Amino acid sequence: MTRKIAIYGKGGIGKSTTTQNTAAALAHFHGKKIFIQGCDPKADSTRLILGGKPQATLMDTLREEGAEKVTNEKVIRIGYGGIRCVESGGPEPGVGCAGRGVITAINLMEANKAYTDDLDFVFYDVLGDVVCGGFAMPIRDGKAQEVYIVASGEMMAVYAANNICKGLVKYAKQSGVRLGGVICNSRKVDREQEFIEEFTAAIGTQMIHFVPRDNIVQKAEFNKKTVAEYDDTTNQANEYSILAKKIIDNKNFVVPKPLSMDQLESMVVKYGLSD
Amino acid sequence: MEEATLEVSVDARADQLVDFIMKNCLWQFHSRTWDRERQNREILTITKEILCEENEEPTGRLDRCYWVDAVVLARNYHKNFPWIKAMNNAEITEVMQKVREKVDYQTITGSLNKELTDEHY
Amino acid sequence: MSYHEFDCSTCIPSRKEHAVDKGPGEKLSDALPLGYMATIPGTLSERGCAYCGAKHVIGQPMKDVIHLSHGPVGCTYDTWQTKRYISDNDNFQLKYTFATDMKEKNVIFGAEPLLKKNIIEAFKAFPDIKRMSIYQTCASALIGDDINAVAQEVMDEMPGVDIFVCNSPGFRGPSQSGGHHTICIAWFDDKVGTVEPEITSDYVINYVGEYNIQGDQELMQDYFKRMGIQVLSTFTGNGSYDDLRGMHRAHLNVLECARSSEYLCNELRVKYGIPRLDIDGFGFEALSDSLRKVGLFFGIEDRAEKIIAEETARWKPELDWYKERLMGKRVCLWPGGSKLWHWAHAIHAEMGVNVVSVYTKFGHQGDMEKGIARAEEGALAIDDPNELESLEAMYKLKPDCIFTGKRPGEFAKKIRVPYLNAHGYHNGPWKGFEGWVRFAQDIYNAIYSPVHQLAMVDISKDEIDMGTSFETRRMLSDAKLTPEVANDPKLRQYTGQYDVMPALRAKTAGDYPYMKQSKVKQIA
Repeated sequence: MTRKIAIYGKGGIGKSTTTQNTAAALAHFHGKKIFIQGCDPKADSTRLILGGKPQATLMDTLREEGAEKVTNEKVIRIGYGGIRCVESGGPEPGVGCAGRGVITAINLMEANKAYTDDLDFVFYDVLGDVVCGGFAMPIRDGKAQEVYIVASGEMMAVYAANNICKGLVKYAKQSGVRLGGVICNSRKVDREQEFIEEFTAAIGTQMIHFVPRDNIVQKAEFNKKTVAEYDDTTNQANEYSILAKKIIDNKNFVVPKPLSMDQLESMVVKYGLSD
Repeated sequence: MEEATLEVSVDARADQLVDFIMKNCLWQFHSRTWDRERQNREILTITKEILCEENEEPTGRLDRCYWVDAVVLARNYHKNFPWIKAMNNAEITEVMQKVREKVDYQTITGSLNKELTDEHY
Repeated sequence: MSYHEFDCSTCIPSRKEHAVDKGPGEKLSDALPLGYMATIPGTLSERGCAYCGAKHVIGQPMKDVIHLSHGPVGCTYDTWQTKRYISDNDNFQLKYTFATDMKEKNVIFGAEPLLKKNIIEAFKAFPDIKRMSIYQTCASALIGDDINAVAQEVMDEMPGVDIFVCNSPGFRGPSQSGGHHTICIAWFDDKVGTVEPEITSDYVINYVGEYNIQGDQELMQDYFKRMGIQVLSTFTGNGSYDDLRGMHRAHLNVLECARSSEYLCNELRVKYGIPRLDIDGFGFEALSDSLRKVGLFFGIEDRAEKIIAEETARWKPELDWYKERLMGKRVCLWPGGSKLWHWAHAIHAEMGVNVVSVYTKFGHQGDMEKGIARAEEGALAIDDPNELESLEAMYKLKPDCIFTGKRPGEFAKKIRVPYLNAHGYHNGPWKGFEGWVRFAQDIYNAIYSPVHQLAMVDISKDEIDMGTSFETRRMLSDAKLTPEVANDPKLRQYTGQYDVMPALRAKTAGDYPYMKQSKVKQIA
């Protein structure tokens, strides 16, 4: 059974980096077949898998040729580890409706039967601010059943994670989607791991993995690669491999219980005061 | 010279038969190239067989659907083109082969309809 | 065939590839107008939107359904009561249409709770109706309201109801045709096969692409019933929601309007092996052949021949009466999508009328292939026409009558060209044998109306004949006929009823002796 996973989190927190590195680890260390569906108008969810080559986005192809002419061959590119990649694309900042772009992109892929049964995982990498119904498209009925939220120990990242949980609660009822955990993408903040562990426990989930900050990730990115491809003997490559394994084995799926503003504030104060 | 006029005659007759199809029938205008290839092949083959009195009524429903279009076409051919009665089976086969080529050309290979190659319905 | 450039469109060069003159001896492979493309900026196109195509054309004719639009009231109101798809349950679907009345605050904060509330209210207000179709509009589409999820919630809470969701917002496709496609595929994916229908005959068809305009469906269904054929479902004129869920059990799909619903027939063929038979319900010859084909398919051709013989004997003398008087008249066939090819040949062959132009507002290249193939040489074929081009065409071609929609019809009237409503008809039904005579009568009445004769006089320059005062149509139409033809005792004017429906609907089981057959084995 293909597992469909949606990755959410604050803008700039490292969702795309984490998704691509985890996908690469799943493919390279664990032999899994992966599909990445980028759901961000910035169309930067697959760069590291494709060696930096920009991909023709679904929306560009639709705009130029019409929906009937969008075929899998035109929009799916295959990169490192045999990972299949599609970018939804969308409008530039300040114009149009990116949310509608995500809806249309996913509908098209489904109509074209792009998410084939031989896949082990499909990742929907969704942009940071889930500001309208369109960005919740990946967690509607029949799409992603699991969500992972990428966060760090910074206040805004945790706020954002909590907010996303509110949206998840609504969709959990309708489509059965569940939160699989929070991935902590470390920013080397004081007591980061402790904070995230307390936060996740409070909302009823787990911190599925603490990914350390290591500038090999940036080095690999600079070379337009994931860490697994750049140097799979490094400690960071191993960290992603462990995260991958945890996702493979994960059975902890919950409907989160988002915190109220007061609860969240007092937790933040607790970890901020210890300076 | 005899040969030449005979050739023209077969071609001209085929044109008449094709014109009748284009004026009166809809079966040659299904949605995609693969549909049209199938429709043209099945219906025109059966029509030829009927005109040659070599056809057996099919039982399967997809086959019967081609057959009914062919039966009515063959009847209309007899009604509108009395020269068919004078033709023998070899001649009928020859002219119907030309008909098939021309209909295939107009509806498939020479068609300017850009939707014919779309993947999905 | 060569591309036709309108004088008024030389400023929009891309319009040239959208019109073609059918030259002598030329074939479809020589030139074909482009079709179903994005509307060209600068043209006063006559197209509608995809929401309209889905809801107004295909969805709303279903008669036992609450049709609810999730969006502003305007969308709903403007797609209501402008098409005459009647039904035999007292026109429930024509009398009522429903809207969630989305407002700005709903757009900002999401409108799913509003939708749910409206669904429940609607069902409560009409407790006898247990089926609903919800149509997405631009407003609800953009904000990502998950209508399917809300519908599922209500179905879980109210087990007796079933809801169909059509996500076809106005922007989804170049024209209303995009909406046809969306709703056909959605119905096929979501609803076909979810009900096992009752089979009451050995001969079972779906009648697809027929919308019961002024009773067309009921007139055609009468022929099928007289042959003992069960019309399992009609997509969607006078159609029932649950019947249409059982489409997968038919032996044959009889398809009329391929433009709006060939998608559905194609998918049914692939998934359920049901063959697709394209027919014409217009024109004695074409209709006769169509009935023969259906009869042949089931091995009951003799029943078809009987009906053809009866109907032809009854109505041909009347059709011919009009033919004598319409010969040589010039008409433009300017409908939406499929009537250009349903009528192009039949109307010429059987009413003697010259079709000088065909057009399609939202058709695809396939419609043009059929229309140009069936039209005579010299016909002007236009894709996605606009007012200026239509006016120019009428000035040049000088038709005696045009068959088109209300809007172009109005400006035709202004230049003194009579028009008949090709979409909703004037005195329909126009399908079937009797219907075709009614069509001929309407054409005759339009062309020979003394009002038009008077209106066509330009008092600023024309000579006014002071000798004639009282004129009737008959006087005008018979003026050029020889006395033998004009008084031919074998021919007569239409003698049917003004309203064909009551007699049709009054028929009982006894009028359909073959329909009493019990169910036996089905054709392979």
